[in-house]
Amino acid sequence: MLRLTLKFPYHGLPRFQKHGSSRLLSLSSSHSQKTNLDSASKRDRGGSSGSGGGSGIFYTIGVLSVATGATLVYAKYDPEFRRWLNNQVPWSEPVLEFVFQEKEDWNTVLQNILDSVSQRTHKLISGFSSKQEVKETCEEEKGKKEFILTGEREKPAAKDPAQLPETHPLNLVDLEKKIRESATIAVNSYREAACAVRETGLDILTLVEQSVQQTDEKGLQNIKAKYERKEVLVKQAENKAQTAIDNVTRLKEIVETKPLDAPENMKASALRNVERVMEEISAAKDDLEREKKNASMAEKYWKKVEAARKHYIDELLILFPDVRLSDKDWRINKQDLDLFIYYCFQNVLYYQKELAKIETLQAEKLNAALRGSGEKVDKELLDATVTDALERQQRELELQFQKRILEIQQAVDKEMRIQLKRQAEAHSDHVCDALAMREKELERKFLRQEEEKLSAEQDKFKHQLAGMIGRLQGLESALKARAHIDKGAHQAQVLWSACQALHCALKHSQPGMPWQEQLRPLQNEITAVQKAALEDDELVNAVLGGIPAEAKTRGVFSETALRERFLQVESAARKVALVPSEGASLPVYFLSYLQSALLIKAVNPIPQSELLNEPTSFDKLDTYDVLQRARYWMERGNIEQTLRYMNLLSGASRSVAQDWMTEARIFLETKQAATVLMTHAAAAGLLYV
Amino acid sequence: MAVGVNTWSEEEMGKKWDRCLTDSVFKIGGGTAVGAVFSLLFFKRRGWPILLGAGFGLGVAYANCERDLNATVSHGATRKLAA
Repeated sequence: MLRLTLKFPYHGLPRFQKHGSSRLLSLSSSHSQKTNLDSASKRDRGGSSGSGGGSGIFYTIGVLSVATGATLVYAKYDPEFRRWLNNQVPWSEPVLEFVFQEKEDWNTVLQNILDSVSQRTHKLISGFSSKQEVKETCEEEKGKKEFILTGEREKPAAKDPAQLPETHPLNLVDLEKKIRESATIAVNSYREAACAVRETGLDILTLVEQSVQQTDEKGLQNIKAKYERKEVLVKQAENKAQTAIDNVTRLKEIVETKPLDAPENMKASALRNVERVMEEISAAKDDLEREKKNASMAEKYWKKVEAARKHYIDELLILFPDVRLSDKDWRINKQDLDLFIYYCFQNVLYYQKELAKIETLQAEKLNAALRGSGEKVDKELLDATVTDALERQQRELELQFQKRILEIQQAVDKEMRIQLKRQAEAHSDHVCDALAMREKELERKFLRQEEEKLSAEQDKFKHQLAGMIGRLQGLESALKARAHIDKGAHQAQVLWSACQALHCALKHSQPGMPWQEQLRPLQNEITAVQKAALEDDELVNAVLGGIPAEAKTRGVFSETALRERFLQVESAARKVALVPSEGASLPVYFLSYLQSALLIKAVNPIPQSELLNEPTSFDKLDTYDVLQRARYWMERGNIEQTLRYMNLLSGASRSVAQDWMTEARIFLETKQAATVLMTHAAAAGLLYV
Repeated sequence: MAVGVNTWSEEEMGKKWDRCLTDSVFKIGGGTAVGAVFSLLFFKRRGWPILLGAGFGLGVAYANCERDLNATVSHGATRKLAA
């Protein structure tokens, strides 16, 4: 392996630029069975490689490359040819596969190669590779093993259907099969063992490194279990290997000693298989041995750590007899605690000192070894020193890192606390303010709601009140109006009755008394009327004022009285008809008297025209005519007309009739007043009908 | 009408005539008496002073009557105006 690394130094990819020809050439150089073309080309190459080379080299190279390319392509195309090629050229199959990327991508192949190389170097330098790589290699190798074996299996299987050999070949085949199986088993078990060993080693490492802080009992048990398993596997592997080897030897004997009907190539192939199997087994065994060695180192390390720990625990037990390290909570009093801390501190210091010493001594020793050995083996040692230095630096950095972390943590905590306090204060202030505002707001809101409700209620109430008041007022006014109306009606009635009384007083005379004694003062009636009428009744007042005073005080002759009196007046007027107004001598009186005695009541009727009130001249009427007409109207009860006619009298008749005329006038006035009042009362009464 | 102040105008004539008559009777009688007296005394119981006296009495009565009646009539006229 080392030779490989020296021969092909890892500069990167350029090694694979000329992929086809150079590799093949190198491969072909190792195999003797080559075509003429190749040998010729080799010779050519060998010959022409020293000289400066003209176009000959290029030609050969070109031809070679073309030929190989053609072969490869044709092999890919034609499986028969491929098989034949594989038979002739043993390594052509993988080459084909590699070239045409049948099994794996070129990139993956590259990666695998790189990985394997790096792994190997890593393994050399550092004792313990990562767990992941371990696992990978374990599985990888397993996979590879499978692959190779199946490859081997294919070919004998292909041969079987072609020929049906007799018992011997069959046995051979069976044997071969058995061998193969056992070999696979053995190799697998070897692999498993190797893996297990590696795993245990790693576990131990991790446990040791981890459990500086804590003691993991479970981890310890785990490790123990793994260790045992490892032992078991190893034993198993060895057994399997033994059986496989036995089978192989048996086959070999059979093949070599006994005679066969089978063809020669089968035997040869069988032998070859056997050889290969043996090779594999031995390889696996070597692997296991290697792992064991590595593991042993891990074991030693683990044992040392265990010893140190045990020593520590013992010391602790001596100091604190009633304390076990594995207890979670220790019950130590203060003094013991101090002592414990002091003891731990002492231990820590001691170990630090030792560590420093070992580091420096190691460095010194390494340097000395390097100087002593010289430049030849520098690679390995250099790497070792480098890694050592790296580890040291790592440790220092870790320590620094821890310190820094603690510092930062402290600072950050303090800062955080300050900020939190500030935040809390601010928050509390803010909350207080918000609360106060909210309170005010709510208060305002509620007050407003209350006011609104209150005002609404008040309004409603006022509304109701207004309604009721309105109704009451309405009622009152209605009642008042009614009362007023009633009063008015009553008053009208009273007025009417008073007027009626007045009217009656005027119209009718008191019965049983002569007309001379029928004067009755109308004061009572008039006052009654006045009382019955309202104060502000203008008509009544005017009318009553218009009534002549004599009526009130002295009274008025009624109509019948007037009528009776008229008779006398008429006769008296007749007697003095001839007498003028200034008076005359006595004989005239006698004459007029005589005339009145002698004149028969004139039979001349009043002309119709006069009666119908057509325009007539009243100048030519003498006393007797006048008196006649007056009488006519008097008989019909029309005192007004009578008065009118009587007014036409002249002379002594007039003076005789004067009183009567005055009386008649008074009467007429009063009567007019009474009539007016009556109508007024009637009209007033109509309102209330 | 018991009250004597207010006499109706139509009755006044009658009353006047009544008074006139009574007045004339008295006047005549008185005159006669006076005449008689005179006759007795002065005119040796001749008859003519009685007649004279009666005549005087009648004349006075006549004059009084006339005057009275006319007064009534004219008063009534004026009264009418006043009323």
